[in-house]
Amino acid sequence: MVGLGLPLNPTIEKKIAAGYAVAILVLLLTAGAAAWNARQFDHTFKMVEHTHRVLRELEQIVIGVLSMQTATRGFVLTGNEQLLETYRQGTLTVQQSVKQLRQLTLDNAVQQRSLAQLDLALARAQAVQEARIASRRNALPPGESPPILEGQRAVEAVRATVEQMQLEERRLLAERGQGTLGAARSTLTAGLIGCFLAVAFLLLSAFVIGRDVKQRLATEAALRKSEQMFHRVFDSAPDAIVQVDRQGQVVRANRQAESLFGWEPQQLAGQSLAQLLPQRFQARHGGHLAAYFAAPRTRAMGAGLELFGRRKDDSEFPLDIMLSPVETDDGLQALAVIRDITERKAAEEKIRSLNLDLQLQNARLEIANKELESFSYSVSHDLRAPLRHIDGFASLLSKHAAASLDEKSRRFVTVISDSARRMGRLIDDLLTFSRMGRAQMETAQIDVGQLVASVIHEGGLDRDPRIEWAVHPLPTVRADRAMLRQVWFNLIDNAAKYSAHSDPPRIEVGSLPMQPGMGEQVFFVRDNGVGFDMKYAAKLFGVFQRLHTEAEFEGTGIGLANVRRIVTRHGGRTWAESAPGQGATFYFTLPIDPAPLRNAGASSAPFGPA
Amino acid sequence: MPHLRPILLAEDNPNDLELVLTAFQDSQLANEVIVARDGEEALDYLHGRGAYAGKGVPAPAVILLDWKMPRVDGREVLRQVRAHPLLRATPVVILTSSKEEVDLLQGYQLGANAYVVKPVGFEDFITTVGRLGFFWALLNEPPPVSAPPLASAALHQP
Repeated sequence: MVGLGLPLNPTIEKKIAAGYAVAILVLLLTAGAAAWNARQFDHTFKMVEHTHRVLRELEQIVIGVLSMQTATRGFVLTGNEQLLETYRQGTLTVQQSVKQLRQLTLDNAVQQRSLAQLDLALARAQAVQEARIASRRNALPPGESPPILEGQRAVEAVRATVEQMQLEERRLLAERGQGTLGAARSTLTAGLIGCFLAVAFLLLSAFVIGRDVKQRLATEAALRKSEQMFHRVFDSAPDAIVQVDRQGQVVRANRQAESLFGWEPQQLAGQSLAQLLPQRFQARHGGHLAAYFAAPRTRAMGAGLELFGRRKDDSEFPLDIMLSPVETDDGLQALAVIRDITERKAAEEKIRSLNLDLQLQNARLEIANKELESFSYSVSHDLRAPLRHIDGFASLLSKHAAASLDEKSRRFVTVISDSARRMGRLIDDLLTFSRMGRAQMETAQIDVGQLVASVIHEGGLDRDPRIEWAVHPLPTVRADRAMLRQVWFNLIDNAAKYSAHSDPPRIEVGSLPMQPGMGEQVFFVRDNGVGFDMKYAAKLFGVFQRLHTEAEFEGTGIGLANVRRIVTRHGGRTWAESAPGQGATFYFTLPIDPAPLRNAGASSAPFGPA
Repeated sequence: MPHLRPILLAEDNPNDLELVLTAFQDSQLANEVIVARDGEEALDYLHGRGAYAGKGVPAPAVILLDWKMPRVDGREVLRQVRAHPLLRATPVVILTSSKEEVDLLQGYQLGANAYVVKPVGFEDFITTVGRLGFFWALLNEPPPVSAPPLASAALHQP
């Protein structure tokens, strides 16, 4: 059992002890029973012997008495003196036997009574015999001696008593024998049961112990397997792992660790951990080690510190260490998982520098944007003033010199004024267009129907009473309210402008039913105005692109460019359909969820891509 | 006839100035127009100091304030006016070329009563100025001047 090499589980020992104890106990009991049984047999044997002796004595008595009788009869018949000797012998035998008998049956009251009876009977028989002998001797006439029958009767009485005693003795023997037999039988049974139990118990113990042992062996095997597994895992782990004891001695290192630090296989185990550190860290190493084992837990080593490892050839490299405590048979040790982070550091450095670049880029863009802000601010203010003056003074001139100005001169002045005003409008439109490109989009759920109504009314687009409006119910979309307002204003304003010559002008505003899976909502503005040739459709949404002259229809050609820019920023599309003289329909779409394109389309160029 | 208070016009650009004055003439405003060439002069008038020191100058019915002026700009003038206990109630109309949202916001936040963008078109310009003048100088009831004329009051100010 000890050969297992394991300290036995106390429960197993207890089980073994218990099993054996019980078995031994049972065996002892069985032995005890057997011994007792033997004693019983011995006792019986003695009893039987006793009975036989009694019976023998009784037989002797009978033989003696018979011998006496025979001798007496013989003497009576022959008068041979020798026969008297036989008779005397017989008497002695009987006497002796009786004496023996008395001794033998001392403890038996019944037999003693019988014996007393026997004594009487014997005395009687003897008396008769003696009388007969005496009578022969004395040659008494036959009528004087007791009759033969009397002698016979006396002997019979003896025999009867003897028989009685024999019966009694036999009965006693049987009785005792029966008891003994019973006892023997139960002892035997008990013994058998005991043996059976003992065997059973031994078998049970053997079974239980055997099972325990088997379990133990299985556990051992599993443990061995798991140890092997551990070794395999440890050795083939993709990270370098080093197992270190409290004294900073390397207990074992896996292949990765060996190769990482440039050691030959198996050479690292048994070395001091200090071998793996650059010189300058070795001083603090002891402190770190002690600190770790004082409060061991799974954590990264040296948080915030730059850690370096030293290879066998003294070259260094940055590393990352994760520590975790492990209980071993030799006490608390630590597992260190080590990673060479040279690459990671390089990547981090790269990220840092990229970030820096990005920040610089951002800063530059910020500046550009700011410049743009002040640019458009200047434009907004400083460019308008001179224009105002041009127009103002041109008008003053025409008023002041009205008399001296001829038709032509007045026309010149008008052109000057008109041009100045036009320039003013262009500037305004350009500024709006630029702002639309740069401004932050703030999307919200917008009730488009409400918005359109507001644009038409508050924008004064319905000032022409002739216009027939057909504004269909419009859905809700997610968009920037101000920008969307601009889109509707531009489109409807255009519609009104270009259908002004129609009678009556008709403007229709609506949306197309949404196709499932399209993910966008289509809106349109339709008018019954002059329309345009589809071959110029591409130019329609260009900046300052117009398909009519200023004389035909006023406008700067920025309205649709604005519309396209805004719609594009929302992630939608713009297009138009028309035929000359048959009105035009302008379409635009808005995606159901414009969020991803929040700042797409916003560019730093003031009049960026349309 | 109620005493007509003057209009204080702060405008740095001579051309714009001429246009405004012409417009006032055309609309036949009876109010006197005090011209300040920049914010400094405007404040001098309001505080009764500098060129206006010692003169009993009446409180204006309205200040027409250009926003962009050299030295002291419209913003500063407005701020000071609104900070001064005696001047605080004076109506101020910002009259400027800039339609930039930032200027609008600032103007209103600093407490301007109105913000009017100078139209480029001359006709519109005349109309606008005329209307402004009519409203603020004639139609609108200016805040009462409870204290004695500004100058003497100004002398007691730091």
